[in-house]
Order: sequence, then structure tokens, then C-alpha cells
Amino acid sequence: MFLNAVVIVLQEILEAALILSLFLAFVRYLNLENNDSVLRRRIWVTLSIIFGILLAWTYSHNFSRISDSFDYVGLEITNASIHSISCFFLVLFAWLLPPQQLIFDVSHRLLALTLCMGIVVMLAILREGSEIMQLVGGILNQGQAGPPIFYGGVVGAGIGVSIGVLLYYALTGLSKERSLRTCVLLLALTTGNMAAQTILLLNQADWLPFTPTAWDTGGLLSESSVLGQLAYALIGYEATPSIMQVGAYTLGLVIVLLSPISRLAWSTWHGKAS
Amino acid sequence: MSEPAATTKLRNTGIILSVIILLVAVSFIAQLARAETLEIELRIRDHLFFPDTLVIPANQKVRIRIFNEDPTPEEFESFELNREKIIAGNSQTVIFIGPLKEGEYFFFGEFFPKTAQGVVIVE
Amino acid sequence: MRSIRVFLATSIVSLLTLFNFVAAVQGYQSSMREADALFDNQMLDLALLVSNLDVSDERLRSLQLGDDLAFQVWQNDKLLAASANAPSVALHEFADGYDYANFNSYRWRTLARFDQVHEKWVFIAERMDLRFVLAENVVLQSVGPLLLGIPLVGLLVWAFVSRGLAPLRKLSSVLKAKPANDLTPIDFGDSRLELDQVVASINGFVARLGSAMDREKSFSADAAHELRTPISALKIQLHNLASTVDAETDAYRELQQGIDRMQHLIEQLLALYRSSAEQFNAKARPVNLLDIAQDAVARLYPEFERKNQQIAIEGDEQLGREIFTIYGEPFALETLLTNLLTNASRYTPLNGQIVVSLLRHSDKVILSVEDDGEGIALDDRARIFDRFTRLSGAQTGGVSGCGLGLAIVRHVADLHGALVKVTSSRFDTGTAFIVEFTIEGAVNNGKKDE
Repeated sequence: MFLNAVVIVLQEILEAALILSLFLAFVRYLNLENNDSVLRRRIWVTLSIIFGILLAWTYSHNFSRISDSFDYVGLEITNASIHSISCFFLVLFAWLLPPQQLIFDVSHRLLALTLCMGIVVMLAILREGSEIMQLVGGILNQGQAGPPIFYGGVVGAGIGVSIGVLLYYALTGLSKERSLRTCVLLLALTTGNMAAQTILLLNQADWLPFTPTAWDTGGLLSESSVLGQLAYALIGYEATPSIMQVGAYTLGLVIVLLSPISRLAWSTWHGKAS
Repeated sequence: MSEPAATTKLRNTGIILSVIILLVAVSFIAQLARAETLEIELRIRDHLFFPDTLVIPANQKVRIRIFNEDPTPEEFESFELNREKIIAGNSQTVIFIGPLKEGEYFFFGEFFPKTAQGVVIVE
Repeated sequence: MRSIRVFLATSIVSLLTLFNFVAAVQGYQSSMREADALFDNQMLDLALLVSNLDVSDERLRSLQLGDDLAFQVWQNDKLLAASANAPSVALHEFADGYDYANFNSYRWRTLARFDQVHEKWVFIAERMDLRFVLAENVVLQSVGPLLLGIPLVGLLVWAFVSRGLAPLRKLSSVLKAKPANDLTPIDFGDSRLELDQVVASINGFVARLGSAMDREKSFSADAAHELRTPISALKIQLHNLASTVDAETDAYRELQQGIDRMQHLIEQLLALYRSSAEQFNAKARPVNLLDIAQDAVARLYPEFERKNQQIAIEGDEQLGREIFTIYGEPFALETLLTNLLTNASRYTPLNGQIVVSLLRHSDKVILSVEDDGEGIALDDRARIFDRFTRLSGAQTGGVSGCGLGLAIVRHVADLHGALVKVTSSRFDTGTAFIVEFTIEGAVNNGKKDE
């Protein structure tokens, strides 16, 4: 039970930690902490985590009802909605990011940007938190395997949070240009991932027609391997994606990469940065 | 500077919207085709799958109806099938798989992977 | 503000946690594999034991092995013996080796062994869940302490990082406590390899800055002082000269004006160096700006009158005169006002208007001197406070000053932590000089002044 708990908790925490680290790196890039929004910045993180946990708790408590709805594919529909909303706000976030580094240019979009980040983090916590609650709540209530699950959860959470923290320091430790490029790229990959997940879930619910597998890289990098799981959690790696999933992934990726901020990231930085 | 950005944004919102509309339309068509789907049952008891081998025909969509008879939740997971779904204790659910090519597709219960294991054999 | 301490502590704890926990997972996996092999070996031993039992013994048929074990003995597709909990069908293929099977609602680890001597198959089964829980409990005994240690390690890392950065914090507090005008070397007893160069460099800069400032100050002050005597002598000589030559000639008048200008310049220079930071702090006390303004206007009144200029003082005294009290040095503030007023009078034509106004805005006292003169071009506004800056004739109306007046204004304002701004005046033309004092005035000037 120890290892299962590690794997499940790690996967979930890693996905949420990645998004949070990414946003915090963006916030730092935007120099928002120099603005008068220092308080608000701390608050949006805390608030979205709290709301996310509350939502996750509500989700877990209505789990059976949601699961039974839509002819027993309610979970897929709900999760697909959550993924597509996250995807939408990630795209909105990318397009709202100002193409200049000037603070005053940002301030009027600050609320909208903060809202986007808050919603995405909240939904990430909702998605990942509800699964952890299912595992921990469902199994602990039966009085089985308490310590192994507890230890496993702690180890999984510890590894996930550590990777998140180190990722944040890695992103912010890079030069401004590289940091921005990496952040934009990660944002694009995350968006693509969300879009592909939405398609997969709708496929699983049979709401979308079957499309053949695009390729099979299972021999190259197995999804069950440690590296494969890490890649799955970070960029949504699938060994055998369907054509429609690949299409959705590419669409999400491209829409983010078309945004003004990413054009700035790959422009030659004509002395715009101070 | 802001005006072309705004029009591009508008255009992209348009793309997203049309994709969503397309998805919804396609899903309705898919709903109509659902009746022909083959259905098989899978039970979870004492963290074991019964049967632990599901034999299905190739190139056919299959609805797996899973009954979890344990009080604990279980997560049906398969890397080969790209499927992942939590089933609450003492409840049932549905997962669609396929159409698939011939081969063996392993699945397991992510919450109790030591015992809950099975395979889908496509012939 | 990003903190070195938070960065070090969180990154170190994260790295430790990551490596420790990954190692724990690795340890768990390899221990579980070992345990698995151990259990498998035991099953093999059991199989050997069972194959040597006499299967004709009736007691063997009903043997209870406990919940977690089962066995079967087969010969020629016939079940010879089995434990009570074994299924009636073969629980394993008839092939040597280990496998898994589901029966009796459990998942079992199974072993098949063909006994060559007795020509029979022995099947052993062991319940996976029990065996797993047993192994896991043993393995977790060794993983547990690793997890509980992390919070302790975190606290220790925090403590050590704090301890390690203590000299840096000490240095920064020493620097913070150091008054701006204190140009003595830092006495930083806590020697560290990484900080010694910083301290040495700071002290080097401070020493060079101090000697440079001393040189400049003494040179200017001495020069000004030394020039006073010959100028005074020159004035007397000029006065005497008036009795022998025609004092009404242009040459004589220009000579007189030249000497007056030089005297003014020297007085200004002396004023500038009298109000340097170290003397300033000693003399600072509560000063009412309205009093200072009224005194200055009264003193300079003849000059306004000469040019027939209107001068007015505006100060909203509804809340009492005290609202214009700031903490500062009276002589320096007087010089500031005198210079602003002289300036205004000089660059405002005959019959012009000059307004001095005082405003209280929360903890700020805002002094402004406005005129309806030519005004100052936007491009010039930034540099008028530099020493010896004089603008071209068109804007000054041909009047020439010594170029130190506004430098002194800026200097005095800096000493008081005040902000000087130049904008257009309330009149159609003209300039407004605005000085924003805080009521603490000189108290926090240390950080801004260099």
C-alpha cells in the first residue's frame, strides 16, 4: 500500500505543484511583487488552495452521485469540464500577459491575470485533491493499512512539493530571457495537456468518436516506468495517444505559442528588458 | 499594438468556440451510435477482478460495466488502454474501450495493484 | 523581497527531502523484492517437505495449515492430498515454477514443483495480501524514521542557515545604523572569508570618499574665506577711488557690480559649506516654516519694492501656525527661502507678482514659491539645480546670477529629506518651485543623503 500511496499522491501533487510553480515564476517575471499587490499575491495562492480543497471535499462527498450521472459517465464529463475550463483560463492567461515588462501596463490586467491563475490553481487542487481524498478517505475509513498509506502519502507529497520548489527556483534562477521562454513553453505544454485530457475523458465516456492511435512510443518510454509517470505528470505524456488527442494537444500548444507574450519571449529582446 | 492583439484574441476565441461546438455535435452523433456497443461485466471483490481475463473481439467498441462490491474505492487503470477511473465502494460504473487491435491489454486497480490485476485479450 | 535565508533553507530542505524520499522508495522496493524472494524460498522448502510426506496418511488430507497457506499433491491428474482450504481443481499449471492465482476470494502466490523421485506434483500457495502486509510492515520499520527525521532536519537547516548568514545580517545592521555623514571605517569584528573583501572595499570607498570630501570642502571653504579679505579690501579701495575719479562712468559702475557679484558668490559658497551634514544634525530643531517665510519676505522687501513687485504669503492657519512646524535647521531653511525669493525677484520683470504659499497635507508641509516671470523651459528644468548652471540670456531676461542659489536650495532640501520640484506657476507664465518637506524633516535624511 505504501508504494501505491506514493505513486498516487506524487502524481497528483506534482501536477498541482507544477502549475503553482509556473504561475509564481510568471508573477516574479512580471515584477508584480514590486507593485502594491504584494498582499493580493499571497492571498490568491492561499485562497485558491483553500477553495480548491473545499471543492475537492464537496466533490468527494458527492462522488457516487456524480459517478452515476450521465449514464455512469458523470465522472468523465465532470473532469472533462474541469480540464476544459482550466484549459480556457490558461489560454486567457497567456493572452492577457502583457507583451511589455512595464508594470503600469500590467496593473489594469492584474485582476484578470490573478483571477485566471486563481481559477486554474483551484481547479488543479480540485482535480488532484479529490483523487487523494478518495484514496485516503476510502481506505482509511475501512481501518486498513493506516501507517503504510500515511507514510506513502507523506513521501509522495514530500517528493512532489520538493520538485515543485526546485522547479520554481530553477525557473527563477535562469536569466530573464530563458526563464520567460521556459515558462511560456511549460504553459503551452500544460495547456496542450489539459486539452488532450479533455478529449481522452470524452472518449472514455463515449461522447467523442474513436480515432485511431497516432503512434506508439511505449517501447521508447513506457508509461508505467518512473520516467514515463514523471513525463505524464509534467507534460501529459501518453505512449499511445489517439489522433484526436494529438490534435487537441497541438491546438492548445499553438494557441499559447501564438500569444503576444511568447512572441516577446522569442523576439530578440530589443533592449526592452531593463 | 493592442488592436491587432485584440483581433487575434477574438479570432482565437472563435477557433475555441467552433471546436467546442464541433465536439458537442460529434458527441450527439456518437450517442446515436451507442446502441450497437458490446457490453461486458467486470466485478471487483476483495480487491480482485472477476473475471481477471476479459476476451473481446477486435475492432469493436466495448462498454465495460464495473461493479465494485468492496466497501473501499478502487481505481481502474490501464496504461495500454489509456484508461483511468475511480469507482467508489459498493457502486457501479461504465468505461468504454476500443475499437482495439488484437493483443493483450493489462489493467489493474491502482489502489490495490498487488492483488487487483487483469488483462483484456482482444482476438 | 527575496531572502537568501529562505532560498537556502527551502532549497536545501527540498533537495534533502527529494533525495531522502526517493532513496526511501528505492529501499522499500528492493527490500520488498528481497522479502518476496525470501517468501518464495520458504514456499520451495515447504514444497520439498510436502513432497516427502506420506500421502497415504489420512491425517494429511484434513491438515489445516492456517489461513495463509495451501497445498495440493497431484499424481497423474489425480489429487492425492490437499490442505482443507485448497480448491478442488489444480491451483497451478502442471509446470515447474512460480505464478499467481485467484481462488477463495484471495490472490495467491503459487509454486509448482515436480518431484522426480515420487513422480508427483506438489503445489504450494501463499496468500499475497497477508504476505505483502507482513513484508511491508517489516520494511516500513526502516522507512518510518527517515520520514519523521525530515521536519527535524528542516528545523536544523533553518537554524544553521540562519547562523551561517548571521555575519551578513550583522554587517547590514552595522551599515544601517551608520549615520550618512559618518565616514569613519566600519568596525566589523566578525571576520569571514566571504565578507572581508566587502568590508575592506566599503572601508576603502568610505576613506577615499571622506578624504575627497574633506579636500573639496576645505578647498572651497578656505578659498571662499581667503577671498573675503581681498574683496573687502577691494571694496574699500573702490570706495576710496570714487573720490578721485568720476564714479558716474560705465567703467566704474561695471567694476562695482563685478565686485558685488563676486562678494555675493563668496557668501553663497560659504552658505553652502556651512550647512553640511555634520553641522546640520547638531543644530536641527523644530522650526516653523511660516515664521521663516515671513522673516525672509520682510528682509528682502526692499528688493521687491525696488522692482515694484507684489509679494504675498499664503498659509492656511485655520489649524494653527504649528501645522507648518518641521524638524530642521533654521539658518539653512532661511537660506533656502532667501535663495528662492531672490531668484524669483531676479527673474521676474518689473511690476511682477510673487506668491509664497504653505500647505499642510497629511504629514507633509509643501512650500511653493511662484512667479509670473518668463518661466523655465522643460529641458532646462532638470539641470538648474546643478552647481554653476546659468541659463541663457533669453530666459533670464539678461540677469546673471552666480549659479549657486538653486544648488544651495537643493542641498538644504536634501538635508531635510525634502523633495524639490519645478513646475509652471499658477500665473499664465512663470515658474513654481515646490519643496515638499515631511514633518520629520531632518530625522530621516540620513538614508537619502550621500
